[in-house]
Amino acid sequence: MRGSSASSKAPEINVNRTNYQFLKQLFQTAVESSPEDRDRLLKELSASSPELASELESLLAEHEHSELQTLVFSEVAAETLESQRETAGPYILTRELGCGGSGRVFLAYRSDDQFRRHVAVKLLRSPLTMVADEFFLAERAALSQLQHPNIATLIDWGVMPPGTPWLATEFIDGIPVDRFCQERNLTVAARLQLFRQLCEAVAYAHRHLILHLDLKPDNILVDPSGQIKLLDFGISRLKTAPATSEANTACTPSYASPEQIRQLPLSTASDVYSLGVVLFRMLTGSLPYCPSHADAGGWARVVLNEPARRLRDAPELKREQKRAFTYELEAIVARALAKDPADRYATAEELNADVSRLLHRRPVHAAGNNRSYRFGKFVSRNRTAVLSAALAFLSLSIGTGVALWKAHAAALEAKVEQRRVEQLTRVAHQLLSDLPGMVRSAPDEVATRKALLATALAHLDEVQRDGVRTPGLQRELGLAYLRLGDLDGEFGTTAAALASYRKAVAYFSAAWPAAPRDVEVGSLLMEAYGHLGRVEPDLGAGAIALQEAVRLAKQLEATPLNGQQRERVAAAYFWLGENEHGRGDLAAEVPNYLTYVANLQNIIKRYGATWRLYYEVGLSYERAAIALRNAGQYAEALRYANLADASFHQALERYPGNRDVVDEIASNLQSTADILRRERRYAQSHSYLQRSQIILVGLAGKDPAAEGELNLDLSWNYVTVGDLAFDERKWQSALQAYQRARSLCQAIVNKDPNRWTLYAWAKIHNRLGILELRRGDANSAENDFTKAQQAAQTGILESPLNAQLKVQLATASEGLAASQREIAGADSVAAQAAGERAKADWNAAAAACRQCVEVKEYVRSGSALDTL
Amino acid sequence: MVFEVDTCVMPDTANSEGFPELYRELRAIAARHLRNRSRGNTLQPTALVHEAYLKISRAGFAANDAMHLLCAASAAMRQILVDHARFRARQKHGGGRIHSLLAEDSELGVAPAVDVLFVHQALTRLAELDTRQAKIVELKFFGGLTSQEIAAALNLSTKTVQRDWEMARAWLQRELKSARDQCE
Repeated sequence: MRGSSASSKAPEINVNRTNYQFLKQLFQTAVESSPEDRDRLLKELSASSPELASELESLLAEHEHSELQTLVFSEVAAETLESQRETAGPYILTRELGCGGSGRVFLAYRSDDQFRRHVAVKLLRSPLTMVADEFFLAERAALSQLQHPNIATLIDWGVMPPGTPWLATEFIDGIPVDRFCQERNLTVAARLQLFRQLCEAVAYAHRHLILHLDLKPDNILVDPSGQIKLLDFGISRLKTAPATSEANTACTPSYASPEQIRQLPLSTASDVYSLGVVLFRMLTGSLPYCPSHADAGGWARVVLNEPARRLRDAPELKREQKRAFTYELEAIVARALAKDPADRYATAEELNADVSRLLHRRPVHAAGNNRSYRFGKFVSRNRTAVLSAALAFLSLSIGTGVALWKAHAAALEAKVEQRRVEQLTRVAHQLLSDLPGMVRSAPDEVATRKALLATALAHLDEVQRDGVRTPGLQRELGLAYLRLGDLDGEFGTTAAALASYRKAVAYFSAAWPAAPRDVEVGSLLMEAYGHLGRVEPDLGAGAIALQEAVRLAKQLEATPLNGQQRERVAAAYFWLGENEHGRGDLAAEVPNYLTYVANLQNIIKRYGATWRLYYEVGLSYERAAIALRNAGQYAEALRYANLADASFHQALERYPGNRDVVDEIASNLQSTADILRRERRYAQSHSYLQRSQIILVGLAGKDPAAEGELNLDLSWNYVTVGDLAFDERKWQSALQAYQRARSLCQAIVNKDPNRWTLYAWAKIHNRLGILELRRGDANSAENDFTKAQQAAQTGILESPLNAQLKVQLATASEGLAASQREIAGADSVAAQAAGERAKADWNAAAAACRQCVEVKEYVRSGSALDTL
Repeated sequence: MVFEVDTCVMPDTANSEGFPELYRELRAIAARHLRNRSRGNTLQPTALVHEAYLKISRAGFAANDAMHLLCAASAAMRQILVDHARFRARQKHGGGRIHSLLAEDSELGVAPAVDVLFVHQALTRLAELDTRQAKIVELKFFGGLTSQEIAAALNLSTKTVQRDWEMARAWLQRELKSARDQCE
């Protein structure tokens, strides 16, 4: 029976509803009678039913020592409260938040704070017997200097009797970073962004000459706003006297660096190691080592002797996780986890920079044995020397003016001035070279990048105001404006980007003749022309800039260039090709793409392949295929589309999961489907479209910043699906596909009506109009053709030479004419006028693009509607 | 005022109309109290239940008599505390071991003074033996009602409530002790 099952001491008794009622009567009688009567009652009962008697006896015993009298929830809570109140200094501890190796943490408030603001108070476990008071005070002063958004601010501390040190910090209502990553199921990129915040906090402390030495997820919280908050700075050092080495063993063994375990001198590289372990854990949920014995000794042996495992070898990973662990990322983690501090990143800043490079798809230092890697080694080996040299320089520049002879002052001033200029320029350069190139990123990061640029420009302006006009300065200014233009182009307005690029061109042009052998400046000037030409909506003006870029490229190719410069220079051909595509110059366009491919292949041969190079090769083939398709050379077009596909897959092999590559594979499949459709290979076309669609749908929702581009791709996909259905005379399916394309395109074109989105919008409406016309619904058709006409006109206003837009405009005008003939009759004035307009628009389109098959068809048959 | 005792006992009350609303309301109130507790407030079920009652009676809760509402609120309170304790137990120990709500939530409480889950389980057993006693305990323990209020709610004499409470208390106390002994 359940009634007795929980009671081990009571005799077995079958208490049920019936005998409980009997027991109840007996209980009431017994309670109300004298002790003697009670005993008698129990005796009598035990004669007849010993089980019930013992049950009654136990209940009566409980009744006599009733604790439950006060067992009302609120009273218990209140009692517990009053008796347990503890204090640390002026703080009243209210609730234990947790406890760990170094002590217990409480939620607390200051007794004299009437607002009772929450703080976290940590009671350190070990009394500070070995810590001298002065040391304690010095540390306190140093720690309270740390004011950083990602570091929990130290508010106060003291020692309470009998010698337990306590610290009061800002209370963070957060969860450990590893749990945060897992619970939110963050993407690898998001985890890396979070990790960068952590690096910034640690780097900040390092600049204040404070090491953390106990970095682990329990000390790294993510607050409700998604900010990293680092706790317990400097506590590990506080736990022991400065001269002893015990600090080395006090840390959490799983995250401790080899030198901490071996009790060797510690440096910023020790924190870098712990950051590496934290990063490993954030990415995989597990640790880089897996010792057979989990005790501290086992850990120590493994950490000292065995190589850390690779991310992809961590247990319980999903396949897509593994795919996101690229070899660059593996290299970064491996370098942070190097056993020898000299092989690691020397500072959290360097680690952060490499993660940033990875996120922005630039070459990662950890991945190659290049010069900066060796320099990093040099610095970390000579860390103290480098640091003291820097400090000496600083104190020199502060103390100079006063301390030196007047006679020397003038000469010195000039020197100091020159140094200042150099320094400012260097600071600006540092800021600029840390800026990522043209990449997609979160809006707040854009703000950060803009702020950085503004700082750099302010530095440079300051130098410029002093009348300094060195080539070096002009080059830095050019670089600043070039990157600013990139930001404007991607996230701001075209006009702002144009203005920035023009300034960049001006500064580089001023710098280059002065230093003609500086090919870096030359290649940057070429890049500035190139970017200027790319964003220029007026394709004619764009072409002039791009032709200048190609001219510079040819000039530079003759000089010795490094791989990066070669890559930069080669891109000029691609950009010019793009421009020619816009202007409908199909014949000129393809050779430019192929020149670019040839250049890239040379670079691959000479400097080795990267995903990026293969990606660029793929892009060029893809564009060539589209141009040939438009020119009606389908067999050639198919050949290049297949080459593009192969190149993209080579890129993907080197950078698994790269979104841009995957996106481009889908686009290329779609344009291949379009070529196959025109060759009337419908079944094959269908299967290509399906593959493309699967990829695009799979990408959806992964990156909100790229949603617009993705929707445009999907929209194009539906256009092709519609075209295919149209060719196969499946009118209903075609209509549905175009309607889907329209609904996907709508938001994009509203948000950003540029020549590409307007082209898509016009094309979709033309197709819808043609279908409606065929169905006999001339009024709806007129409506759609009007929309197409408006969109194409708006696009042409922005980009007067755009041939594709002109073809769409002519198609829309012709559709309108046909609609008018249906509505008002073939001889009506409206129909006649619309017909005239269509003819004029076709002539304009033909002038813009003689090689387009659509135009050729028009020229041949006098009407394009049947062929579309 | 005739009162149907059984409708007031879990889980029947939990299925009755309006219970989900009451439960939600109480949870919200309790959460607010829990958040503000460090400002010197303690978690007072009586206050919570009364506050919920006021709020819901104003919102036109289906029940038309105050005592029924208090009764339902006590049941809701019990459900909330039990859910909370179970959640904590799962969180702390990955399931399995029963854990004390009070030890977790009373500020700095060291030993579990009372374990909500123990009480809940014992009370469920008691309800099988004597529905009315279990109801009285629920009202007193989770609702914070006085014997007089309980008597009014259940339409009993205060003396009967007092007697029932005494025995139920003894029974519960024994059950809790033996459960605690088993745990240790």
